[in-house]
Amino acid sequence: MKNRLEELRRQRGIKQEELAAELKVSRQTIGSLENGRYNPSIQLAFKISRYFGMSIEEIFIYEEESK
Amino acid sequence: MKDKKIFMIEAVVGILLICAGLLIRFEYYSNLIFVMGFGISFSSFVQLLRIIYWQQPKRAGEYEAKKQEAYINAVDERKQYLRMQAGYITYQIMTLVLLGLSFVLALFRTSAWVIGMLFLLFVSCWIIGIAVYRALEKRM
Repeated sequence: MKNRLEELRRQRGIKQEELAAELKVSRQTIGSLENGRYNPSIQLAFKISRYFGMSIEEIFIYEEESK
Repeated sequence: MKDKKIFMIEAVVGILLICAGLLIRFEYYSNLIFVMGFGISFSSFVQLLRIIYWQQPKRAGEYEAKKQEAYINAVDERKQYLRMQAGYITYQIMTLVLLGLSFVLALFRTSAWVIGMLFLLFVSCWIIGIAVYRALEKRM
């Protein structure tokens, strides 16, 4: 799953540490999400979408796994 | 005070065990109880000293930051997932280690009860793993 987290964070001029503190996760988790190494739970996805005032689909792009 | 309470109770329990260890006459059991008491009270005192060190007014800001970091690390879903993965991988490794070790010891003709105990631990690990999985499956 791809996401626009880094792009949105940079647009708003927020540091990873600040976003992490707002979402109550570690800075490393924000890094992992941005690199696509970790997919968030639905709860965290909702938190992120509410934080940016967007829908989940606008931030996270679902891609079907290749067979 | 709230942070210290549990360690104060632990320290008292440890001291009581030390006293019991000194009073009991059977050498083996008195040593066992004494060492248990020493271990408990020593670790509690170390924790108490650590808390006292961090709770000094000049370190208040730093202590709050440390507590906040510890809280975030505890609730962070990625770290929780990593802890579960670490536990799962350790379970698999230990299950294989127990089986492998009992086989290697059997090759060296070690006492049967040692091999039996290791094999029993392997079987217990396997059965407990299945039982815990089923219990969790019922709840979810």
